[in-house]
Amino acid sequence: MIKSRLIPCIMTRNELVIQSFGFKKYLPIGNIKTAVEFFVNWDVDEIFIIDISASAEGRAPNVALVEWAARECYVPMSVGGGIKTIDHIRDLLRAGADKVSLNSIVREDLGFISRAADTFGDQCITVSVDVKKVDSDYRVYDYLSRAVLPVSLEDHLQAIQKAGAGEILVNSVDRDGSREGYDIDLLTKVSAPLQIPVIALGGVGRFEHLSTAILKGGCQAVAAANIFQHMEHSTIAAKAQMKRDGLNVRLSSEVQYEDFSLDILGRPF
Amino acid sequence: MKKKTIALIDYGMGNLKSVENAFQKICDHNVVITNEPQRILDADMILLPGVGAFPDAMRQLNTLDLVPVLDEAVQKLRKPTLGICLGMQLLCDVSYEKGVTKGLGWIPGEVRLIEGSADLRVPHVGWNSLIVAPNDSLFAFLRQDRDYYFVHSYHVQCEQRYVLAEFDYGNRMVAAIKNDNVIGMQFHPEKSQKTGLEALRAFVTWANQ
Repeated sequence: MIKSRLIPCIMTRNELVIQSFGFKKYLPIGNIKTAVEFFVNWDVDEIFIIDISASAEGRAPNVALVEWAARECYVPMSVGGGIKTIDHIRDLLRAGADKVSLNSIVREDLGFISRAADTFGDQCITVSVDVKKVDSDYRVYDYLSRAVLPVSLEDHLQAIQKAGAGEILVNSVDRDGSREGYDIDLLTKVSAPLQIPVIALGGVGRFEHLSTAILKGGCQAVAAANIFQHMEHSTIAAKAQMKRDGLNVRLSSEVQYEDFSLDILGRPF
Repeated sequence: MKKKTIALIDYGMGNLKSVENAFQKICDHNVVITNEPQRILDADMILLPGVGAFPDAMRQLNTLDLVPVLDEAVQKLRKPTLGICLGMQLLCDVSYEKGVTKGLGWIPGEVRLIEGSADLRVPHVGWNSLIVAPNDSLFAFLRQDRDYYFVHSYHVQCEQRYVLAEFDYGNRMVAAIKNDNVIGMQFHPEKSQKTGLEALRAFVTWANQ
């Protein structure tokens, strides 16, 4: 039986890992290599590495970094940030990425999804969609121009699915860094009409929040960023909580937290 | 004794680096990323990786004129061969991904779209456990109680006698196949942590014999 996936997102500005708050404030955490080395051994089901400043700064994806990270990474690795051409994707896959995550290029050229999926297969192409609530309406957010797009979220998502994306990563701008938990209403609206898997991101402040994206939001995988940068074994403890919440998860690490409770910061005791 | 060589076929479609890393971790054979006919024919075992779309993969193999040389290495010289993910699908006769495309035809079978539902979305992506065919003790390395990483929209349909293992995704679907010297794994052993590396180690052990 298929397991519910837990995915840490390593958000970076080039090689510096950061925590993001509301797409506005950023807290530097440390070097990406340290983060990757820890996560690959902490029972994660995939790793996302997203360079949030590559497109803004006109940088191409950091292929050398991916090549380094892939060396000891025996779980799937998705890479995003700065992808503008088919060759960028080819270079990343050759370097050891398993999937790529597209964001700003999709708003410039929806056809890019189809070209990428035709070449590398649908399963390789994740599209990351940032959503902001305006009044009571969910809108597609463009982080480069810091503005919402004049299209309906549902039309945009359907167009992405039709173009051949294999998966959608939905990130709530309002919940980013808030620790309030996922925006379940948003996740449900995104997930229900789609036939491709949806990954939830944005707002996890406690490990109890994770399972809600699947049990209530209808998503197929859960992702979080900031919370996993706070403590040792964070993703293993998160998995233990997901299991307690009744999800079918993969536990493979020798480190186990099944018999532990978590305190308010999510630390096991 | 001369080190054995693994030819990791480079036809522009694979996650070559990940596969190379995994094999370097589990054995001390030379892993050669190549599309040169002589190096393929000289190798002791053949790896066909694959991330991508079936028609593009076959077009690439044909453009590089690799099909005859692979046929010789695998069919005539009987070199132990492993196809991973799309690489496993290429082993079959035909695929219906984006049209109808003839495959390498080393294992009788067809590649078709996974029929999804609201609960079972396509692509089938994530960690899934295996239902291992009970009759093949040689491949006891495929563990029923462990999870392997899958990411694919199409799946192989073939006669049960070629099936090493299946997975459950609404219906039972094929996770691993074997025909004589040719093995295919739909999941990504190179991305399935220790469990996946064990599967690769077992392939190498089998191939060494």
